[in-house]
Amino acid sequence: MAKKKKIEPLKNITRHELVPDHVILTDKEKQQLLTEYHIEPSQLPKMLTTDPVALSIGAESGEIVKITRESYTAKESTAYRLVVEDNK
Amino acid sequence: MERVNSITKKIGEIYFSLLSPNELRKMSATKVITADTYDDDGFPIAMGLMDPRMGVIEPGLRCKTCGQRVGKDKCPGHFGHIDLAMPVIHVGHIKIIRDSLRSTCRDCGHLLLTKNERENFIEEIKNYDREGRQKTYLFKQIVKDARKASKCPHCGREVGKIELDKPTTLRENGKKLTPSEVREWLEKIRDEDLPLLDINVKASRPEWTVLTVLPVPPVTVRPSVTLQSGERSEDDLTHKLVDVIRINQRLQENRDAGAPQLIVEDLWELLQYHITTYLDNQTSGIPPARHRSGRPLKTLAQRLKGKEGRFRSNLSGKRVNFSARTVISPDPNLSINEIGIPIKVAEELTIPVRVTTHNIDWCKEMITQKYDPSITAEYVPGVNYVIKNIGGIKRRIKISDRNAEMVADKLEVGSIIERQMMDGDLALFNRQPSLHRMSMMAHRVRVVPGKTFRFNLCVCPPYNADFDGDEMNLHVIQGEEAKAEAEILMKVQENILSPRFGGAIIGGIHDIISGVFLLTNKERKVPIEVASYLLGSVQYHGDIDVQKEDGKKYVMGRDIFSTILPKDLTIRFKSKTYENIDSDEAYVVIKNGRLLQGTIDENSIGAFKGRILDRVIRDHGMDAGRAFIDNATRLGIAVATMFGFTTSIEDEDIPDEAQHKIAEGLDDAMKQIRKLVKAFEQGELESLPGRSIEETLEMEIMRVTGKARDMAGEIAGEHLGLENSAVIMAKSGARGSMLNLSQMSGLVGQQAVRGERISRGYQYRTLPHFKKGDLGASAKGFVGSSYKKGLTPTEYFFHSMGGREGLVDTAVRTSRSGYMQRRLINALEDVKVEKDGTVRQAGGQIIQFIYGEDGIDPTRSLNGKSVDVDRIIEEVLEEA
Ligand SMILES: [Mg+2]
Ligand SMILES: [Zn+2]
Ligand SMILES: [Zn+2]
Repeated sequence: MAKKKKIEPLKNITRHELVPDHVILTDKEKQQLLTEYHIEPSQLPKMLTTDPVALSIGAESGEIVKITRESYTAKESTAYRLVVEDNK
Repeated sequence: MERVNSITKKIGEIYFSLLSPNELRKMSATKVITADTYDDDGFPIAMGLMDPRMGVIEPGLRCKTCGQRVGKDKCPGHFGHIDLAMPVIHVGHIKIIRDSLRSTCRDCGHLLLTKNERENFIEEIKNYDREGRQKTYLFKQIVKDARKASKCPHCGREVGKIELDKPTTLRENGKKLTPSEVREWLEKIRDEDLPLLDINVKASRPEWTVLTVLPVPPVTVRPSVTLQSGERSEDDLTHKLVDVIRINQRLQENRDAGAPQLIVEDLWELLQYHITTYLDNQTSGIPPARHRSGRPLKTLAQRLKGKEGRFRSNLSGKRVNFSARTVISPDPNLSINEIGIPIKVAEELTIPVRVTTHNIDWCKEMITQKYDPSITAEYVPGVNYVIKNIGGIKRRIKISDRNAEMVADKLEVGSIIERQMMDGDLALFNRQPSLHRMSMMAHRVRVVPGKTFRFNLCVCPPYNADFDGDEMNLHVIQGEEAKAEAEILMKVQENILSPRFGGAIIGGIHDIISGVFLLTNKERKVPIEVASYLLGSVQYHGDIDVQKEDGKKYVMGRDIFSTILPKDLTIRFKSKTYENIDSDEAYVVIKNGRLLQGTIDENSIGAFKGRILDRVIRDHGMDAGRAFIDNATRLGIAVATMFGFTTSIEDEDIPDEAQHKIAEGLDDAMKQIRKLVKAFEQGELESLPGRSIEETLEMEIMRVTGKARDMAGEIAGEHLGLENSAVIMAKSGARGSMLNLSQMSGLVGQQAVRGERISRGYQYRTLPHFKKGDLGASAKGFVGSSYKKGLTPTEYFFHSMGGREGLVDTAVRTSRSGYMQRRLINALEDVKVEKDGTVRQAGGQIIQFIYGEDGIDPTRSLNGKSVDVDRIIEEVLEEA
């Protein structure tokens, strides 16, 4: 096999139309979210620190990201993900 | 709202560990040394496999260890043990053994890691633990790194290559390691290295994976059965243990007598085989142990594994009481949410009723009465048991003719009577495979004579039932809460709308559609006598327009149909019968609950697309929907019965001239195909873009044969009019299609396997009846005959090939989708919508923040859309 080429990540993939909006919550917003749903951070869906979007917006382990995406049923929907360390 | 978390208990930790030889001996009730089970008098032999110290199976006998009896006192049985003459490897742990050997030194037992490496890994493990991450990957890495060492970093010994010869043979540099050697090696591994090998020091030692003591399960685990002939039949486990003990004894004797190494080794390997198959009789690499009859033995792993294993068949799923199963048959006179149950079933299944001051007289009467066909023809429910609570102890009293009066007299408030089923009770009805929630619905009971379950035909589709011998299950609801829940959620009428697409899944079918078609098609006039019968079938009370013609009184068919419509219904849509015709009469027009014009058919009352049905449910609710379907059933069946409706093979007759026309068209098609083949052979055929010439030929021929079939269908269709019953069924959507009819009277058409003309069989040809390389129509599976005329032998053969493919496809699809569904259900079983609208798992982890992102229940949606804009506009315009 030829020499392994390292694939350079796109400089800013968040501008791509298929990548939904990711915003890191502030501590206050985070607290609000947790009280609104009566949950621990671990009960949220997760996203890895190595996730291309997490890398490009600089989200770190323990932070919560708000994702706003187009929805077929609801036109626009929001979801939240807890950023966690990769398991390997 | 506050989520209540207080009830949730979390399991902090769970771990499995090995039993040490010492523990095994300690928990053993007896050592087992003889392979025999019972002596000549039928008593169990002491220190044999059926030693009563390991528990007893016969009721009444007392266990020699705990002194309890088996049934009443619940002696659980006790383990025994076999001391193995030589150690034997446990198949279940072979991977642990292999990895332990690979990552440790044979001489000094140290891990094959440098001090530095070792400390790094310990640090990593701590990190992973703190972060709560999975360590599987890390442990794999440790073994991988340790294997890289060529010399022990502690004592300098050359590291050998460890290979595993499945299932239980280990080799070091190609030389076999005996289980004793393996055990000695594992003993050397230091306790402080065990955490790096994923072994819990507090629980287990690696050498315990090599057995020196074999536990013998209690007799209660492997009971023997006595056949009628008095002969005893032993459990498979006992059989296997007999083998183990026999070989173990011989091995011991031979070794003690100093027999040649070769013989001892052979016996040792045989012992290994028996213990391996005792643990798992489907171990790959060795033949399964068999019974004398040739049946493979069911040993320990087989008892637990798979669909018939302990987990799936006894722990996740259970057989239940208060249920019945019998053949099903149709009854159009029942409502869709009723079920007819045989008297035999009603007498056997019971419902508990608590005796109170309010119902005690009724209960007493129930106890004394009993169904007796010689006295009353009508079914009378009685009571099977009375449960009395005397000083905290429950007593069941069976009610018989002799004690009924007495028990009724002494009946007290607080007792429970188990009364037989009667009309109006709720029961769950189910047909397997239960693929969606409509496979199990609640019905109101009607006790009927006969021996089958009966229900309205409209409920066949959700259960996917037919009456060619199908059986179904019935479960009687025992508690009040369950009854309420079933009433609100599970009744058939609550399930008319499917959550799959938000439309009706229950609606008129077959003769019901044929019936209403006959009633409403072509300005049908019904003589007053017949009309009164039809109106009686739907119990109509009220006025109706009567018309006079030639001195006879008539009622319009559409006026009769109008009687089952809600009074405020106004709707206009195209009927199925005339869906391809573009004129005003193709439309059904209903104004204020009166059918003004049009033909009622599948598009009005059928499941999936019945517009009237859909509107009734949306505007008037589930109960009105149920009533509408019930009435449509009764009316449709009554019309079909009164008017008469028959189909026969004559319905597929077409005139000679039409036959000739079809034959001509067929000739034309054949000519065209011959021309195409000729052009192809002479290389004159022009290929379509992106296709090879061969593919082009195939596509062109398929196009011609397809057109030939359409042509035949069209010509046949011209002569198959709406006076033909088969056509009525096809056009109204009751049953069958025009394609079915044209295949019967016109021609069947091209047969295909894998979407292509048939090409397999012999070299260069499909059958020896054709020349090699023949590309013509008939040589490649074109059927020019009709079903009615009959197929030629070659046509018949090709038709069977196509038919076989269909059967294989369905068989493969069902098994595959079945397994796919199993996996989906296991993954999604605890997902539910919480009160705050989030979708969560049992542990409270959020899956969706709002169900479906829009919070819409698809059952109430319109094809997934939350708002029916057209309808709103329509209504607003109407008001204006
Ligand atoms: Mg069937
Ligand atoms: Zn006992
Ligand atoms: Zn060493």
